[in-house]
Amino acid sequence: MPRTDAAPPRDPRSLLPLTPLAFHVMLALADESRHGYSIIREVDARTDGLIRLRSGTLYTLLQRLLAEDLIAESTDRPDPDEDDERRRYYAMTDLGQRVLAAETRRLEAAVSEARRKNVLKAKA
Amino acid sequence: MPNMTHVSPWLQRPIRAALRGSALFFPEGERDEIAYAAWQACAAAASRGGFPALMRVTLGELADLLSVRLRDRAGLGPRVTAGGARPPLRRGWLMAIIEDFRRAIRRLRSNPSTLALSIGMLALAVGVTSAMFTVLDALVLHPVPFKDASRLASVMIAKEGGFSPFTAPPALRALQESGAFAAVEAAAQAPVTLEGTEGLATIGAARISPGLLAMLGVTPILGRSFVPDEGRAGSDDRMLISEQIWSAKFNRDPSIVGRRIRVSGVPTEIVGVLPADFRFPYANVRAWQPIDFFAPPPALARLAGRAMAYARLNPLVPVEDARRVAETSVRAAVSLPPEERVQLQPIHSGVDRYAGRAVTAMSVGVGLVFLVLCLNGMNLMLTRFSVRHREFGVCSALGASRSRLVREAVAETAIVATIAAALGLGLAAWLVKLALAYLPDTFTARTLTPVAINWRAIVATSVLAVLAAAIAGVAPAVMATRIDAAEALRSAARTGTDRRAQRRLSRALLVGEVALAAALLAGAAQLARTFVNLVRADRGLNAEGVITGWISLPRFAFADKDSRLSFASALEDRLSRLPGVQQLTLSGGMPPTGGTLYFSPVRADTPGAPELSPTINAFDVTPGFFELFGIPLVQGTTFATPSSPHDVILGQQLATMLFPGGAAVGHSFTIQGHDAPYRVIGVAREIRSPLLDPRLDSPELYHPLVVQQNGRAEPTAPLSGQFNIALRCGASCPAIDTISQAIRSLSAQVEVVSLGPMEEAYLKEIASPRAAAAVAAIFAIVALLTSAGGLFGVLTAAVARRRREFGVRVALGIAPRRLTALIVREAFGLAACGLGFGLVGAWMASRALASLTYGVSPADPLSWAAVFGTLALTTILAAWRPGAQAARVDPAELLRTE
Repeated sequence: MPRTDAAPPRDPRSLLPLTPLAFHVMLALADESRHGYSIIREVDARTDGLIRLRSGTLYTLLQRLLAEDLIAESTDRPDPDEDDERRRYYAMTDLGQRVLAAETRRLEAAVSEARRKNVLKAKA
Repeated sequence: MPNMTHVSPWLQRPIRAALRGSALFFPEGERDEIAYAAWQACAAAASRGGFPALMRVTLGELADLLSVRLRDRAGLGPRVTAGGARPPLRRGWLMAIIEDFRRAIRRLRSNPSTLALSIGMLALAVGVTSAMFTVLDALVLHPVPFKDASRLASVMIAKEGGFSPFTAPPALRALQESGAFAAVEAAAQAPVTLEGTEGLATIGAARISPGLLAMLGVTPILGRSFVPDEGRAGSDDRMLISEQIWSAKFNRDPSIVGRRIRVSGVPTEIVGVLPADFRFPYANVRAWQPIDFFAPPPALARLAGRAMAYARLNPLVPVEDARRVAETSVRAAVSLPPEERVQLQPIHSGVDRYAGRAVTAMSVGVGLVFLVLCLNGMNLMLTRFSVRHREFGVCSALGASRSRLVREAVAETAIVATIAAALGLGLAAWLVKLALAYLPDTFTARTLTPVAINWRAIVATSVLAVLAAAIAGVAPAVMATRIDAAEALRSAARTGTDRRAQRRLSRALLVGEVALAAALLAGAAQLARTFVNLVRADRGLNAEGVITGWISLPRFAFADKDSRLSFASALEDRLSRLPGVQQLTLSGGMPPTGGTLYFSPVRADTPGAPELSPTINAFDVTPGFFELFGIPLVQGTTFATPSSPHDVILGQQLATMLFPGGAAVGHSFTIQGHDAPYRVIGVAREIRSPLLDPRLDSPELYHPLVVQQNGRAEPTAPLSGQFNIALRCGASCPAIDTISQAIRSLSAQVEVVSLGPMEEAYLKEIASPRAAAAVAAIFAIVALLTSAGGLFGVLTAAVARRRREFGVRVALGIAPRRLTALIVREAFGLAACGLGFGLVGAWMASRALASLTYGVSPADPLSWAAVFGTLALTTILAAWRPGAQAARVDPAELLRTE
């Protein structure tokens, strides 16, 4: 198999822990490619309004994620009826998937530890 | 997708524009997308929570868009990886500038007195200049404040170089139908008398064609404008009033629209209120009534002949083509003599030529004051920076680059300039208020544009502040930061070459200030002399001990000639019985404001006499007029009582013009349009109008006021409207109020329009030159005081610098007096140097002011003596304290401290 990438594969753990903003944005992109406003809505809905992304902040963060090669611009677009040419769509890269998985495992470990310590029995 | 219909288009547009503007901080390819996403968030918020949510989210989005790049640069932006050290602060240019400003503020606060002085100096410069700009703007730059004013024109039909502002209705119709213009409308001046609780008041008013307001682009602030066909019999009793009248007479009562008030005896309906800044066709017009110039009501028939035509030019038709087309169609419609042509002139603002020139000259003057203040500010900054020589040296030694030092110095200047601009704008607003209160009407009220601070003035202020800061701050900053660190650290007290260069610059600036002050002084002296000359000028009559006034007999109250004549004789009888009154005369028209102007051609009865077109100033006078005013008759006699309506007396100028051969008495001449020739029965000495515009000093012609007609004595036209009274009472004149009450006691329907000593009327005529002299004097004083302050500063610094030298000299036995002399000599050296350059400027100033002066030559010795004397005195005053300080240097104390 010919090598397409000269750089050695990055260790996903070098980027951990992710900031909550980065984690939620990547989580929103985990199952499908989305445009900016769709990410804002998804994060808003999933966190029950706890994390409200503003456009300026979102796009600055998307630039960072693109620069780290965690996401990429996607050419998959929905039907023209539902589309708007001003939108750009973003999708996860392989590295992004692996980093998200690593972060999720890290969180899971943390949650297990919390369970072990009976944290969830305490009144919220 | 959120439903966009939740947001009204009126709100959508600005929000989307703001979002798009804020997205400009992002890379180009992303802006559309970001603005779109932000807008979707806003629209979604609106559909969820209505207007409050929309506003909250919009503001949040805008704040985020505007701040995220800045936060990001400072290392506070959104990140991918949490934990670990924050990325190092990125020292971009933005952060560097913020840092510069923080340091600048800290340093400025450490030296509040110099700061206050610099700000004061620049604020004064900016304020005075902006105020002057506001006046210049209203009077010279934008005197006609209408929509597309450059496409508006006055249309006249007259001989080349002739002067007749009126267009007869048939010609007006031809102009309208020619298709040469986008619109042609007309107006005629027709003052009205308002009847109120406080008696009668005559106000400037005009009859206008209903479409005029739309052509000028003016809409009422209350009520409606005139509609087509208004102004015929039955629909002419409507009136639009100015906001000023609405405030002054009706207390801004919103129910004024539709109310009927009595205007010149006629119940008139007020249909609307026009904005206070609308003045047309003359600056004094405050009320407008409609007239159909083609079908005027019988009472207004005479006004139809006094229509002044105004046109809006069609943007697609060149001006000359429009004029030619208009002329062809006027020629076809009315029999126009071949020498008469259609003329187009820019709409006249009502600012006379003197005021226009004076304001332009004053603006140059204020420019010089601005320079003086900036030079002084520059000197102050130089002193500030040179004191910090050592500090700059330390910074430089610690590795601060020169650009960094300059940037900090510039930041300080920018802060000073911003505060100065804000203060300057306030000062300008106050100065404009002051100018409106104290400057004569000729400067401020005769313009169609009201004098007020507007956006143009604010822009000018900002530009001036930046300019002032650039002049005052940047050069000293560059100079002060040219530093050899090691040398600066070795000794702050030692005199390095750079500091010598700074001192030289500082002195050069001072010389510049003195030079400019000298030029301003010379200008002020010339204008002051002009005013004195105008007061003293020979007027051709004796105004001392004479009281004159304008009286108005409204037509509605004095309808027939008999009632007017009986009022006139009752008035004469009543006033001549007042104690102190020696002589009394009634007249139509009176010097210095003049009588009726005739523009028609005249021709003498001598064979082969040419047709002449002087503008004649005609007065209607009683036989005693000449004696009362001390105007000698050089030929012939005065009028008989009553006189023939065709007897006239000429002023010398007109007599020489018509009958250059010699005797005029017994000859006759014709005036085009007047029914019969006039017979000259006398020639009176010429009255001179002490004005700077010789065009306004027209030759005089006197008609008899009371004439023999139809077998009985009748007053001529002037007694029907406004006429003049004059009383000669020598030293013991009755009080003005007493005279006024005596007139009013005869009838409640009479209005005393003005009454006062004739000397005052003359002073009012020369109010413009007086104001020009006063303003120039203020400018000169500001420049002089500023230069004196600068001189004082430079000398004080010199004494401080040379304390050691002076101490040694005193120790060696020099008399302290001689040290004082040394300083005073230095002061005079600088002042003389400044004066040397100033002479050139002063000479140029006198030449430039030639058209504003009267009887003063540019080499007027008295003016120059005033300039030299004032400068010498100022120099001595400025050198006084530093000189005394030099003499007080105590060598013993000096040895202890050194």
